[in-house]
Amino acid sequence: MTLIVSQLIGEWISATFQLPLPGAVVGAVLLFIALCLVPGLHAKIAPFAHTLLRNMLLFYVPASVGIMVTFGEIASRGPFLLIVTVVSTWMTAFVSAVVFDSFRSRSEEPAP
Amino acid sequence: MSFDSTIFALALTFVCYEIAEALFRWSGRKAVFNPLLLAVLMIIGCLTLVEVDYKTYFAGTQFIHFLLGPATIALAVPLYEQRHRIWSAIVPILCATLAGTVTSILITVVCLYANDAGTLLIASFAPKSVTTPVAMAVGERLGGTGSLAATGVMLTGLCGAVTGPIVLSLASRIFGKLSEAGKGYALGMCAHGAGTARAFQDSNEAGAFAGVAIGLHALVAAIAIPIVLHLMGIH
Repeated sequence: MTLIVSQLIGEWISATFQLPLPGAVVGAVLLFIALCLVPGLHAKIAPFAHTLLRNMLLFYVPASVGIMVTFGEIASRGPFLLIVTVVSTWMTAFVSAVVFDSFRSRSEEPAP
Repeated sequence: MSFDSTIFALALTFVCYEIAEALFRWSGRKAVFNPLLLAVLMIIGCLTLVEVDYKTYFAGTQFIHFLLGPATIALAVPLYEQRHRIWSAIVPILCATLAGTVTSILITVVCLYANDAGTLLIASFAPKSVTTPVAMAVGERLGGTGSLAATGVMLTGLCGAVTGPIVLSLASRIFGKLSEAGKGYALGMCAHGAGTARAFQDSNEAGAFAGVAIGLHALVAAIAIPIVLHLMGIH
């Protein structure tokens, strides 16, 4: 129930203020704030939330099957899109890891 | 069709997903046996075989699709549970999130833009390293389509989960040994849930940080992508 209400408020805020953020993301931020303000809330929603998260891949399925329609639109650029995907994924992993560790070693204790 | 198409679409989805999950476990959780990829391929095969179009199928699976929203909200729960761990590494986390998000968006958008890809493709692929529900919402909002965005996310997830660890061991060789937290964070940044699942295979610490990366990356990217596209005059 809390999750649905968070989403409703999130969607509403996102629409009213024309935010670039999707309503569900605004809702997640609201829920995080709510959890910090009302610690008792956690025990109530945690079991359901973890069940949802464990099965999250299933919820992706209906939208992903849409590839059968969109495939035609991207087929002509297929190889190019693959290269862009691979290069940006590699660079993102590389940059994230190096930046994370260079700031970690400077700011706090080394890993045990 | 002589039978109820809703029940057909739901049953097809659940059955294919269960089979895909079983195959994934049987393979020893190998990234190429990604349950999402397998389930989607099986469903497309079945739909083609019985000649049901995507519109009919999607209308029948609204119930499953709807749960993406609550599941996205639920990401706040593990974020809350890990708040002390996040707080103790807040500086590297914020710096890596910014650097990783900018790298991912800029490389993708600039390459596609230089190739004359058009708004539909750019908006759909810009959020490709973000977790699916957020990527779909961002993509749709900026002039792409949810299914194209999901396509980009899936490609990226597979790529990151399979080849990410190789890139990270290369980075270790150049810059000295990377921490478990850093490697995990990088996998979550570049390949969302697929990368996180892969990080959990290395260690719990890597997995926890990958999970944090999914949430923060989604938040930063959802703000940054509209700004980048706007600056480039695409949206």
